[in-house]
Amino acid sequence: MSHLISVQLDALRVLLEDLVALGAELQEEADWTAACRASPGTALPGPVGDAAGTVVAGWTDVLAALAARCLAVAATLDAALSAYRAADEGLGDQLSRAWVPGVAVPR
Amino acid sequence: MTAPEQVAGWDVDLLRATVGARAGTPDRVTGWRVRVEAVGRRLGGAECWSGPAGEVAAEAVVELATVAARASAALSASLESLQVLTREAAVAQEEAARALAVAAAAGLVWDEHGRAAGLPVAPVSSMAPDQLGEVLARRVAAERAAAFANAFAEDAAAAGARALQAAEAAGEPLAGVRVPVGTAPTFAALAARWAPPGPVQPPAVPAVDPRAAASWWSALSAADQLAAVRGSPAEVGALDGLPAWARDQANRLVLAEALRRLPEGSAEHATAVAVAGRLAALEDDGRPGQLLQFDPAGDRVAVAVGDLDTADAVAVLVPGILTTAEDDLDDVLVDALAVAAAAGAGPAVAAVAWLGYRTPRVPSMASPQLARRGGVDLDRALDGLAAARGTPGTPPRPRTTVVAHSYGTVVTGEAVQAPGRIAADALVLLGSPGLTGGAAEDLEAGEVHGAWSVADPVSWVQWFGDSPMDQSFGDAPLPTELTQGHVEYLDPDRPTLAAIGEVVAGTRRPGEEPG
Repeated sequence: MSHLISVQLDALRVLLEDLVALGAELQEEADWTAACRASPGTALPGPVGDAAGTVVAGWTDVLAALAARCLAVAATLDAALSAYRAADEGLGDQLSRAWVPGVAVPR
Repeated sequence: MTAPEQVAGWDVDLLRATVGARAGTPDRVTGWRVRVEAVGRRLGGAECWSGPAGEVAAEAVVELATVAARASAALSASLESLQVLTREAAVAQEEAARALAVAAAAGLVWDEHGRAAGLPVAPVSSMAPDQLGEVLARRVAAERAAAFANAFAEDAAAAGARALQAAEAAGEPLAGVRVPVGTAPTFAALAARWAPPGPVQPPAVPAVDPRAAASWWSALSAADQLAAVRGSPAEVGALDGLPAWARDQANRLVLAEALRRLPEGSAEHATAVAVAGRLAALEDDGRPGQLLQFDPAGDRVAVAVGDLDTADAVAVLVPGILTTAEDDLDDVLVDALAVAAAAGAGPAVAAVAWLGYRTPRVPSMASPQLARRGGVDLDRALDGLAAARGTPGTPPRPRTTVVAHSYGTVVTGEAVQAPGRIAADALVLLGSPGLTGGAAEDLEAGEVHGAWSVADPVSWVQWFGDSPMDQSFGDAPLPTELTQGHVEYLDPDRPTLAAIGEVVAGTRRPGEEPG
């Protein structure tokens, strides 16, 4: 493995919070669109209203799928962030156990 | 209920309100997508998360933004058809209502085929002559009314058919992601349709004006944008109107290629080396620059400090004669950093070292020729900065100040002369040898600030026209000191720099004394 691996955990936290906010924002748009789902059928009873209602339902589904994906990506980043922190703490524990306590480290 | 009766009962206002309420959704999705792209870029930046996991995460966000771009385009197309549906439904409803009114007035009814019926009895020969005339007249009137009613009903039916067609057309852009009734499409289904795996063909980069360039770019998906940067870096890097992040990425690719390909010892190679060195130094200082323009053959370079895509305030520094990227980019960037710092901690400031024109040497310094060419380029560059911040999802346009020095003020005057208003809120004219653009009130910007000094002979030669030294010029004077020389307006120990910072930040208004 020749990869340089670096991660700014605080910066990553900010980005995942941005994604959570973006996901919530689009979910709100999806919910608002869903509220209009029945309106075309009510406005134009018959095949025209039915077709228009299907379109509005399609809009809702697309918006909801995008919002869900955004939130899922954010959740994955959150899990990665936790994993990085846990891994670092675990390594810290391992190292501290491996070392003889009480030996002064010159600084 | 017959067809005309059903159509006459349509609640078109409800439909109009429903479609109208959704009219902003495609643009909102576009804006949303632009912000997702920005997250993706920051995520993919080495300063945030490098390594395989970071790359996968950045790719996931790019995929999300790409699908969102396609979704936005599909919703826009769908919306257009829904708007056609609304218009046709209104026509159908109106015609059907007329048909019903005409039929009702004539005492007609509607049969199961949607035709006016119930005509009065036809005259027969056994009727008395006076009765015959009356029956005939009533029959003829009813037949005419039925003909009108049926014509209106036919028009209503035709408009209703067009409405149905439009409703079906509104579903077509989403047809590829439709799933069985009762289930919702997953993101995977959307991605399979709108962001299929495999290499993305870079789109052709159009040679268009900044506003059209910005529109073109904002309509591209994230994957297409990245493909354009990688596939046509020279064109993307040079196209005014595109966001700074894209031009920076593209121009860095051009720069890397220039360093590899240009012969060492050539002027172009020396320019490339100088630019690469300055960018590296900025990064080492923790203030990465944006390479907005890189044209070593034309000796034209523009580097920004700060983020032009998000800044609240932008300063564009236009230097004067004998300025080259190879020798002077460093100094102009120092000035740019000084101006940004002088603007204070309030607004987020980006400052551009704009060496986007070929500056005169000593023999040509008295000629406005290079200023004319440079003015057109400066005008376009400013239009580009404004256009890049005028598309959905981008932060509001920044306050933009041109900080021009010496011959740079002549270039600025020529930029004002170019067609269209100059896309700057304020002009700062330092040590100006005069402008061809006229007095301050003719310079199109809302604010014109000037600085001159008795110790700066260039500021009172007036070679090219009026200058701030002339009391009738009408600018707002910036503070100077009696001993201030031609190259000392941006010196930190002179009072002019702090005042320029206030202009850039928007905290100093014309006529105000130094704050």
